[in-house]
Amino acid sequence: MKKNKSDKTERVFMKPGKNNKEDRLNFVRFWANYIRKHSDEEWSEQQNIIVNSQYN
Amino acid sequence: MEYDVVKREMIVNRKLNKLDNFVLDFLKFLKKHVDYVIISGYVSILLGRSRATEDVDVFIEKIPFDVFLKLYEELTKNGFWCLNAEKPEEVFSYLEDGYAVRFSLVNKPIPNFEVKFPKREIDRETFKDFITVILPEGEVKISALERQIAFKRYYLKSDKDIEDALHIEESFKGKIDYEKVNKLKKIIGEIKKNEKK
Repeated sequence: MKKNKSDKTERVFMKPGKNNKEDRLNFVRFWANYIRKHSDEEWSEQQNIIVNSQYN
Repeated sequence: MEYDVVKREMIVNRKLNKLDNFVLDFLKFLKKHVDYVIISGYVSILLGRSRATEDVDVFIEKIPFDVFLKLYEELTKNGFWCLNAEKPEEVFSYLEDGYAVRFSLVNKPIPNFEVKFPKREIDRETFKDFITVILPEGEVKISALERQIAFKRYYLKSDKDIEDALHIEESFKGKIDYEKVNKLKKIIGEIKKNEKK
């Protein structure tokens, strides 16, 4: 993952995958990195959009 | 997430979702009657993986029918039912025969708890090799991260399972005991060989 040096918040970019499988794995790495760098409250708020959408 | 490897405790100050609330609600009744350890997909989701699931897998210690009956009665009194059978004797016989039985809220099959007795030694070991996850509104016992990784990578092996394993590895970089993962990999290899026979 590359960091953008001009970005003060040091954005981390996701490497695109050569195919769907690789792209999904790269997103798993990207998201895990996000989790490590953000509070539990921040990442769980996003994750809950996916989880809550599945149940009544 | 703060994971204390020595204390085998993890503090997760996450906002709870509908699945977490379902899990905590079910565990409130389950743990009054029997020891348990949650395994597989929900572990990854609890620890942040960006996916949902229809079921939560849990091992419970082998218990006699009278103890199971008390658990069953408490669950049914509190809005749960079994998807596999109505009579507790029948549900228990499924467990004894090595099947998993599913419990959900009445008339709401998703999500559900998939409850099973441990069959193999490697399954029984999870009761001694677990982590307690401390949430803002409760606690959940999950099997050790190394077990999750080994089972997902070397036993289950689907794309979803490999992604679950990778999520745990990436989220807890530097805190995974790969010597232990490799030992489990060997045991799993033997299990798979025997299953093919």
